Amino acid sequence: MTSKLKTLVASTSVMALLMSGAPAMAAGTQAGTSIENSVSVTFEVNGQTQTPPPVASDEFVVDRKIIFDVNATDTVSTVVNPNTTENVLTFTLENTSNDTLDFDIVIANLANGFSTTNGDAGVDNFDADNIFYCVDNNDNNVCDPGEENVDVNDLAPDSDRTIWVYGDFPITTPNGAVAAVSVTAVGLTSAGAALTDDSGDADDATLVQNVFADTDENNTETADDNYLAAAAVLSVAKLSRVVSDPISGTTNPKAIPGATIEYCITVDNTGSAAASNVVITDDLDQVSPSAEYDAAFTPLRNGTGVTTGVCDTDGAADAAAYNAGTNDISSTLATVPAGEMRTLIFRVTIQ
Amino acid sequence: MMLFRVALLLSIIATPVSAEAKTAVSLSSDVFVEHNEISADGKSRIILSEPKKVVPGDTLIFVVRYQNDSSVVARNFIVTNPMPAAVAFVDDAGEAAQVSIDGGRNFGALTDLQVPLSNGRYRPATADDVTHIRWKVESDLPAGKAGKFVYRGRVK
Repeated sequence: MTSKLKTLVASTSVMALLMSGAPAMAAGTQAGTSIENSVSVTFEVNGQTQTPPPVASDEFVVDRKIIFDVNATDTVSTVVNPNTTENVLTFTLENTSNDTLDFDIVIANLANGFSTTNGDAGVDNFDADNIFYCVDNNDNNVCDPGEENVDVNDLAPDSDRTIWVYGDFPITTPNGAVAAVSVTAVGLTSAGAALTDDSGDADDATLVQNVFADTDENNTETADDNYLAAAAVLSVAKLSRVVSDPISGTTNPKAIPGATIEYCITVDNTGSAAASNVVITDDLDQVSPSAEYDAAFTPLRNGTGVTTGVCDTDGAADAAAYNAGTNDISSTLATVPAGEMRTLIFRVTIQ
Repeated sequence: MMLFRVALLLSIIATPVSAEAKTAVSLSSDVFVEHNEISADGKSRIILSEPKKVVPGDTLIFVVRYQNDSSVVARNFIVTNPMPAAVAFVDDAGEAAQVSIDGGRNFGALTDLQVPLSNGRYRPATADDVTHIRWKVESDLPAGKAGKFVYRGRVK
């Protein structure tokens, strides 16, 4: 830029020079738009109006302001169950640069001990298996073939794009496991080439130069989100009590031959996920001394608790629990909700 | 812009040297970028530099210089400066300045201008509405006299 004065002559009519430019956006003027200040003057000399042509400043271009952000779309843990695949975490990449950019995406399982951003999870102590990501480059809200593990393509100023991360959790995933994943985006040109930080380069008024305006001014942004495993944790116990004996009846009965014994199998779920289709099997051949199934008492299934060592009798009748052919008890608990207990009660007679 | 520059050059060449040339007023426009620089002692300083790296949000200082290079007095001296399309007017350009919000048809103090709304009402004009700045020099501009106008804009 020089400030040389230009001598003008009164020969050309004044015209209002309006620069063409990109429409105003929050991201600002499109990179590469030129700015030139044009001024005109009119004056009178001896009563004659003089209108020399406008004179313009040197032209310069608006440089590329690189600013973008990555965020998880929610601030809570994504609950997953063991033995599940392709559990989804959703992230959004927003480009507030004044130019269309591509972005390189890198995902990673975060190390144990990482403090998750979500307040409901605590620290990372587990890794998801087989993580991969998908970029919704065609904005149809579906991970299409060809969108897996690719760059974010042509993200216009003031627009955003969805990135999904997928992870598997093995059957061995412990209840409460926290698995955090990071998504890192690095800005590229719209042709997919690396963006250089031109802040240290020689200035050039006519060249579009890159100015990193993101956090840390390093053209890199990272966000994290986490999975939280909800597994059923079951413990099984078998309680017994003497109901009656042939001598004393139900008053202080003793476990003598001919006595009726009530067994109660309890299934306690101390995990954070419901267990379903829990099958209880008890082979009466294994009961010693040998006992005979008491058909006079209909087994009760899905009782919900134990009171002073005795199972509650709030279950429903399950006449089919006993299989005479195999001499075993077999019953299926449809659901044992997290934090609850379900029981199965049946009776035998001591031989 | 290249086309315009060529046209300007041609007009200078094509103009015959005559007594008219002595009545010339010269004009120039410079642009600077205003940066807030934090020095080592933590103090903030405003630095003006040439507009090499300019990004949206930057503040620009436009300086318009004029000089009466002729040997006679110039009167009713008016400088008109359309806002570059990518630049928003920021603040008052001095007491002599008037602004236009309608493409240069009408000029006045920004506080006196109103923008018509679609419902037939008006709202007060803001700096973002400004399309042109105009400076009128009320007094005569004697031979050899020079001066400058300054205004501030922001890259949209």
